[in-house]
Amino acid sequence: MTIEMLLVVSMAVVTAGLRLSGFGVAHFLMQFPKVKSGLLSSGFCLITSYLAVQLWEHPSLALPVCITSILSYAAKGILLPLLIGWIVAILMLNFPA
Amino acid sequence: MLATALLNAKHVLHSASLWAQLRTATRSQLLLIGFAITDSSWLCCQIAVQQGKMSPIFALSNAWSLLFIWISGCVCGFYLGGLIKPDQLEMFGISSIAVLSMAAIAPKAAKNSIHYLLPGLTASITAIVLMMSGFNEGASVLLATLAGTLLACARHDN
Repeated sequence: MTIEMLLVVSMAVVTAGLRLSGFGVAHFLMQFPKVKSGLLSSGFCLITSYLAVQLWEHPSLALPVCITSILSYAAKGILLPLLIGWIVAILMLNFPA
Repeated sequence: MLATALLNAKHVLHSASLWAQLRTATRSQLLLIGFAITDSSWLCCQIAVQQGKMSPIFALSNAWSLLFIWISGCVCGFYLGGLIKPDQLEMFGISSIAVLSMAAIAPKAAKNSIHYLLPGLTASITAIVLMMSGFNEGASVLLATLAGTLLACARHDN
């Protein structure tokens, strides 16, 4: 096994270890009601911070993101807003103003 | 190795944020989910949470099927990479799909739990401030999420 292969495998093991430790950490913290509400909102915080970072790096996605969010808020499902947002993103990428 | 661990520390939050829905999972299911879950399967799980369809079996099958697709895609990329140019992929806005998926599920989550709004807003503002201060993407997301989560904990006190 080459050094590169060993590095890739060990990185995969480290990452899997981190994910498994997340379950352990959450299992322990869920005993405390104060932390429980924080953990439940951590998924939403991850999404909003990802979105903010991506919009900071790719400002051209602002309009498709706004359209997708508004439609998703108003509509019942997720797929249609996502599809419309994607079409707007393709149009903006291929026909910039 | 340490750098990888630090850069990927967000994975701790990925799995921790799903714990509430995976409490009924067996130990072996948790091991398999923890090994296979990626950014994209975490996002699918979040969509399932908002739609009320999340279960350990969903997380397990989703994580492993997406991992299989990911690895197959990488293998195909090695052999067929020369046929598709990066700008051709960009033409179809492939890189925007993950961002748009998050944009689609964020309003659903906010609608379901209005008290998520302030921590979420704090996390996004913190992320932008950190990016402006020169932090990289991974560190900004991790620290901003921690800030939002801590605010949610503090609000529970009040």
